[in-house]
Amino acid sequence: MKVYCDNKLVIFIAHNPVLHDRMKHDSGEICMSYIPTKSQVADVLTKSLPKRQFNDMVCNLAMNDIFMPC
Amino acid sequence: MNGELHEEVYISLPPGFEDNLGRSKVWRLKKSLYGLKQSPRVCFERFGSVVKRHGFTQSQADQTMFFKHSREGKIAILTVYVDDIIMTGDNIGEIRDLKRRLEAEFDIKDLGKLKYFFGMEFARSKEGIFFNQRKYILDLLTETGITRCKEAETPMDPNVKLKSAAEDEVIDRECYQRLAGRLIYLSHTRPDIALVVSVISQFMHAPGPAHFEVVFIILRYLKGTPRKGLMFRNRGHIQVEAYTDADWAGNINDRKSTSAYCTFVGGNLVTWRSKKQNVVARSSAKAEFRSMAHGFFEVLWIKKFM
Repeated sequence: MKVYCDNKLVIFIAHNPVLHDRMKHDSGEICMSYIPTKSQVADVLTKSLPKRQFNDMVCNLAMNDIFMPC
Repeated sequence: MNGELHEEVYISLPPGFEDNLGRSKVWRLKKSLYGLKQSPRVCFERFGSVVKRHGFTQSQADQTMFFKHSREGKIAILTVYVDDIIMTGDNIGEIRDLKRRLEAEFDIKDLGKLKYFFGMEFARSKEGIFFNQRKYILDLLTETGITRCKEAETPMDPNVKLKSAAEDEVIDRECYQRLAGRLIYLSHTRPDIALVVSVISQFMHAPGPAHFEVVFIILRYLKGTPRKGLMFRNRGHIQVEAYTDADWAGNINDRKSTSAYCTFVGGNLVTWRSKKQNVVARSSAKAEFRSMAHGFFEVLWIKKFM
């Protein structure tokens, strides 16, 4: 299973064994990786975007209009 | 109602029976009735016990889901919502068996292939399963009288930051709350309005003209895109992926951040959330970390499901 995040620092913190007694995670099965903001599909859920970016993001979410495919 | 009562519950006689049975009598209930406190529980208990007797297991991730694996590796799944049941899976024989069993126990009706469920419309093709809430949107637009306006291209103006309205500016709270409620239900199939719906629902207590303006833009956006929905395709794998993101200190009232995640199973979007965090994050990394933790929980939950 994969979790993507566009912040390298957070991934570093999550991977850092020193902090693990306070921040635990199931590292055996979940893999965290960095993703550039451009392909970060969760972006549309945190900020309101201008038209073009918005449409691109919505298409990336696999949202669809069967009569007007993007 | 189908539930058996375990507790002693008495009711007073309905009008018309006093003369035959005497005024001082009460009835003891053997079975559950609508309106009893325990009626939903006993009803579901009875249903669950019937399904479980048929060899199904209740899912721990979602108590309303039951499943049964066969020896050949096939699966039959059943989910129930109050009195509506959806059955799916590749074990057709098992599904047919269970249907017969349920017909014997309860008064049920087979409505055939899934087409319409709680305002969601489903369609199938060779490509996959598509569902949207087109009718719900059109009803909402007719009800609000927004059928001839110009369509909006995005559901939210990127430059607008909302503040709580001052006391003397608050208008028509009930109307706002009703509209927000309808939009919240709509976001079941519309991740594109999830963010703005979470924004407008932060002002349920004090909506002003600016807030109505934002709702109006959402409605105009919906007018242009009533058929948008989600498509589930078979991409040949069932890998679980999650994307997490945060907007640091995006709220100008209390400087709290917004966390968001969306999860994909087999490349199909299944769950998503956009939510204002409930503590103030002092760095963007902290805000991101929180939303990543939320994404983690979601992934673990989905894993439990599977």
